[in-house]
Amino acid sequence: MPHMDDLGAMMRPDLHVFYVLDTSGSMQNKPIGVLNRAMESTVDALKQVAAHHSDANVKIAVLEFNSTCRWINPNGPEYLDDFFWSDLVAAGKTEVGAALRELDSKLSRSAFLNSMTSAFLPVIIFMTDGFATDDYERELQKIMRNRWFSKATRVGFAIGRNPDTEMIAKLVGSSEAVIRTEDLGVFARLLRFVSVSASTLAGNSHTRDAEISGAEAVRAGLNMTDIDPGEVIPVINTVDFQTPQIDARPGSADKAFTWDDQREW
Amino acid sequence: MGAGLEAGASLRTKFNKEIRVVKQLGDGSQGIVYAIDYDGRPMALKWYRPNVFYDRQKFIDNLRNNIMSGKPTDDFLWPVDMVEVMGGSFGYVMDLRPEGFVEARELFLHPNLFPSYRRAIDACMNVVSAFNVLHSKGYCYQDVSGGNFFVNPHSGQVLICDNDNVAPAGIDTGIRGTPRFMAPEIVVENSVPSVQSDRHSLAVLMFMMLCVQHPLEGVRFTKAGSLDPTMQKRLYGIEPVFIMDPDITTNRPDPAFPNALKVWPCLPEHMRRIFLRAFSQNALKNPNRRPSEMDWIRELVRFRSEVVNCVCGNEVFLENARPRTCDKPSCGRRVGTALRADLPGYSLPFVDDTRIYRCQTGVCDANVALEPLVWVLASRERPDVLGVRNVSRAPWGVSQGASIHMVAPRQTVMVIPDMELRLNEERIHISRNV
Repeated sequence: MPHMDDLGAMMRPDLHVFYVLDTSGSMQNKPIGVLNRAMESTVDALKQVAAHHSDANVKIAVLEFNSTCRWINPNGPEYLDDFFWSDLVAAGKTEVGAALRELDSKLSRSAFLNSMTSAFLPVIIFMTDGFATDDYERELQKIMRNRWFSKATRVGFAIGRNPDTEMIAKLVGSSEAVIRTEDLGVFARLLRFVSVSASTLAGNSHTRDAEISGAEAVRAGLNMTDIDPGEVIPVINTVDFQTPQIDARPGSADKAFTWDDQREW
Repeated sequence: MGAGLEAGASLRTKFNKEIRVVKQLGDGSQGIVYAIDYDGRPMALKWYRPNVFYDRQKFIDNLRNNIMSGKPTDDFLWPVDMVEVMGGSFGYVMDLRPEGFVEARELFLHPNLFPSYRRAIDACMNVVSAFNVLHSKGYCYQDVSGGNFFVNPHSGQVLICDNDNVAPAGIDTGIRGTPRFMAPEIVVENSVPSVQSDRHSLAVLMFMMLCVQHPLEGVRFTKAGSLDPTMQKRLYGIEPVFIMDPDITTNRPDPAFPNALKVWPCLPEHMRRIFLRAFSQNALKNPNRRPSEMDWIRELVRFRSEVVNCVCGNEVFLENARPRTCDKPSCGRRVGTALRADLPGYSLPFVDDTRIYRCQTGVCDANVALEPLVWVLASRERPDVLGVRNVSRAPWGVSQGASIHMVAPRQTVMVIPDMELRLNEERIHISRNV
């Protein structure tokens, strides 16, 4: 019989947790400082989760975007043990579309999701405090065709005075998967709790017949705190955040629709 | 609204006991566990988060029934009292988890927490025995998994927690179980958990404790790519295949994760047989074909006594007390024992720490299956001189030829080759192993 020391930890599939973070100019000063500390404590909390998660190998990847976008770990998601937070700096525009394009190119078994075992559907957490400065909707339509994105557990944080809450809701597919707060302290706490709930839900839940929705992760995260969901979950009067079922190639839409050119303002 | 209680908060229980919250111990998806002072005694309180219930009233009624009927055995951290406050928050009181116990799933990540393989077998025996008693009382646990019980790796003792889920067999509490542990019929049809689905989960758990791998996660799993709900349903529900199935070879263990490949060939034939039976296509698809708790207990008590130590320190399994070569690659010594005990159906190596249990001496009730009868001890002066101690509550006999000598509880007598142990209706012959 091999000695117990010769037996490794039981095989576990990978669970990738992606952060897509806005580091545009509007995040300068206090917000970026809070984001850095919030991510640091989130990473610390995820290390605890990963150390005791017998159902998944938790890995982390962080994409920051401003006028361009950049992976903190360009070689792909890393095990939490190997990951240490380094502070981000805020400057530039809010190129959300470019970030989606980059994310789409890496969400594949031949790119960032390449591993020895299979992988659970990933967790993707977005954070922004502003409005996109590029055509993000076109990129969103494209990335929605990537199952690793469309079926992922997606959660969004809309922070600061004037974020595009509707855009965030579209990115994550539901307004109930969005947390809207001006209070940076609340943001920092919820980033940690929601990250923990989303990554523990994969594997530990009791009835699992569908993907874990971002809304579920948000509810579970809020449940760990004394924060009233009514205070942070925004009410958005947009019913359908699904990708429109139309062919979006340039020039193709005008065959299906016509507009009244004579209409006056 | 948050669910938390402040340290120092004082509450009154259903049985009109005063409790005071001392500190938070743990935090889970369903609720928070606190250390409390329960009428002067240190206890634990599980306090539920709001809105975690399928049917809140039904849950409370079931919890109350469990409290009133009392714990099945000492292996359960059972609810003993409950607290309900204005506003609908509630929780239940139970014993504290003693020192030295770890969550079972920690052992899947760190199998070397067990100091020896024998302790891993002890833990399996104890967990199956606890469920044997629970089932025999008409209950079904519904959610057997690595997250629901604690193990003391140094003694093999277990403590089953989360007993708020326990319900009479056939009652639908809304619980379906934990992914990877759920029986195929629950995964596919979402049927109500049963004693038979508990048995599947137990078999998975034992394979994970003894082989440190999931029995259905072979190459079909590692090469699946995305483990989305459809794929999980296929692997655990629609087309489950045991990684060691003799006929279907499409789901062998991935050589990159070799735990099961290392352990499986070393297991005694009878242990391989019961795993093959538990994860056969027949048992995966037909819940009533799964081995019962008594089937497992019989194989595990036998297995436990087949473990002997080679002089190199390696643990070797001697099936039917037959000598064999030490399977540690750098050793290769011949390992055997001078004596063996011939039980009905099989023989055991008769060495220091060999144990004979009640279930090895004829038909018995669930709650006494693991009652110890005989314990073999090496003498302090000469390790090759063995004694047998009566560890039961009643006297039993040893005989050689026509003379019978009665051994009182706690008494130890020297072992002589060719003597017979007279336990209940059974006679166990101690033979020389040539």
